[in-house]
Amino acid sequence: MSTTTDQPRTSAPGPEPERRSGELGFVELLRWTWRQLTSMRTALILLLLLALASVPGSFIPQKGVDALKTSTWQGQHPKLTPIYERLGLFEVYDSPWFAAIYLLLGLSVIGCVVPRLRIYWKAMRAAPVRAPRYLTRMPDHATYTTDASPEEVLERAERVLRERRFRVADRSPGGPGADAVAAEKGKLREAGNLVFHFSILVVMVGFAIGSLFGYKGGVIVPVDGGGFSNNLTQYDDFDPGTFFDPAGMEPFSFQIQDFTVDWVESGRNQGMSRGFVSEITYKESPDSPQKDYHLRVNEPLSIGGTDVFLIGHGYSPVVTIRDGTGKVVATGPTVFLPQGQDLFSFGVIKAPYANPDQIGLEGVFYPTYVKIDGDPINVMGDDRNPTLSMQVYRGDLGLDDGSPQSVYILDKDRATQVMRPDDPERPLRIDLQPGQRVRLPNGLGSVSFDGVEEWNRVQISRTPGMWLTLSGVVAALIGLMGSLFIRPRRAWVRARRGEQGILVEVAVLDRSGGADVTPELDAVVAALQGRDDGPDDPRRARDE
Amino acid sequence: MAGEDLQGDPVSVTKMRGKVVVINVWWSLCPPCRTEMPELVEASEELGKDAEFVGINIRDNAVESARLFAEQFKVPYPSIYSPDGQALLPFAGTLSPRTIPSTVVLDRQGRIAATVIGPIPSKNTFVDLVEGIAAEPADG
Repeated sequence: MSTTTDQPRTSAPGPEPERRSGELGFVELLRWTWRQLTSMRTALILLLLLALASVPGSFIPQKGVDALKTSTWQGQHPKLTPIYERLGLFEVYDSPWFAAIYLLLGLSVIGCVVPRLRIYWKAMRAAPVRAPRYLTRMPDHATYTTDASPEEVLERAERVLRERRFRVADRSPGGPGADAVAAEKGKLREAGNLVFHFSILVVMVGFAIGSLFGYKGGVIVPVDGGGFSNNLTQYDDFDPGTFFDPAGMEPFSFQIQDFTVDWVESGRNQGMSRGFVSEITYKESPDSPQKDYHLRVNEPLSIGGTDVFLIGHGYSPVVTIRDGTGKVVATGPTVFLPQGQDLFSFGVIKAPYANPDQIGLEGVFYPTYVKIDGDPINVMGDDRNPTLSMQVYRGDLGLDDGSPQSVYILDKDRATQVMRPDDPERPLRIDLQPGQRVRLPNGLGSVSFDGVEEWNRVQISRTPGMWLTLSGVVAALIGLMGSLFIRPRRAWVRARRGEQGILVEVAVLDRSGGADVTPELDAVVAALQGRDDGPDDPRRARDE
Repeated sequence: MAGEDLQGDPVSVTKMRGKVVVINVWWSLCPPCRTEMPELVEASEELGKDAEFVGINIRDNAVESARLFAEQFKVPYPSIYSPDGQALLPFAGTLSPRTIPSTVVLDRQGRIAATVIGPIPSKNTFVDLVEGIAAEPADG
């Protein structure tokens, strides 16, 4: 309706357009779409899609899970990286397409649950269905005759059925259906089903709250008196939720006092760690008292709403570099990154203050170095024979152009590799053990290996809504059990005068399908007949 | 807010109350800190009368690395050595430093007047900013 005319507006409607068969009006199309979206089939397909969409999240390193691993992977796959970036595969759980599936599923579940809630509410309050005219046509029924009066039988039937946890409809004497008792039980099955669906929503909301308002970060902390304070600048990698506010970070701090690893000394896993523990002291805020905690894997420390997890450990070789003038230009522990279970590690040491040239070292660290057939091998994770093997670079390490760079990567673009004095074709490699010092060629300076320190990798996360998620999962399980194990059943007992006395008809119907109601029927009949009705065997008629 | 400087002498920001205080958070191996520092040093010399400067050194595992940095850039003011970042905790819940480098300017009452997340824009802009804060009447 974008045309404007100068004519006064008339309310004369245009001619009705012809409808072709199969053509949907706008509202009908919307309704059809809504029906499709809220169908069980769609919900299941979406659930499957959600599972499929999570697959790349577990195969491709995720920025939010391990930023370091991700950047390493990206360095190794220069071709795939831009494509994956475009598809958001490094941040699957934050990607728009993942959110789309998530939201559609949420909408589908809501659209499914809400109308059913209304129906269920009505059904809850409805009286049990009146007895059908011919009870003997029901698949499970029994008849017998008795000399008790119909009223006695019916009253007894009401009592028996109530004992068997049936809800019994009020009989209006003289009204329609007054000659029969109608009862029903197991309405909670549908309730369980609804609770299950509703709980899925709760779980989704809980997850959403956690990922929108929470954060997750990782940091490497030196073991010997090293510490951490909960401030953004202290994290090595940090993955905030969309609505995360740094002002709400709890001002806690902790120091690692002692760290012990339990090494496997023999057997198949020799050289692996069986477990490790960090003894830490922490303060919830700068003014709170100091407390102790033993931090173990899977035993996080909770401070307020934040959890501190110990997830790994490794080594920092302590290396001192002196430049050509003999001045110390770099010293102290440098974090090396483990490449595997045996803590064989890779690292980089930068000395930007060296003269005449900046010095950079890049190489590997063997916690327990052994030479086997001339090859250097690392045999275990404990540092029993620590050895450094580094290559040397000189020149501009790229630290002065202001662009951020990783501490674990040596920028060699403007630096040159130092070669062996006796063979200019082969790179110089310096091998050091603690206490040793090596002179670099060409008056560059010297490198000494002073010792080894350890570090812990700690993950810190705050996930609000976690209790909501957990209670959602628990409620979903309870609801699921209810909807699987509760049997909705209807039962009727009719008593009327027959040719040989009072004829009693009993029928039980299972409404969930497929369940055997014979035991229930037998029990009801037995209880109705009781012992005072004489040994009158129920005559069974069954239509198979 | 207080601590020990790179030489182990006590530094107290609280004692600087009454003056405008510029607090710069830095780390010796961060390239932006290295490019920003000469500008800060100039700014501190220019603002000599109006403002006190303090550095907070974080994340350096060895005090020598921080000392080498301060020597290299001839930083005239003290820096609190705080490898675990404890010195930053008093900022919690405010315009806290979020990146390295960050620079916080406190007014004469010790309240946070401005926070620069990242390197300072340029020496002149920064000097103007600090002078503006210093020109505020002391009664707030």
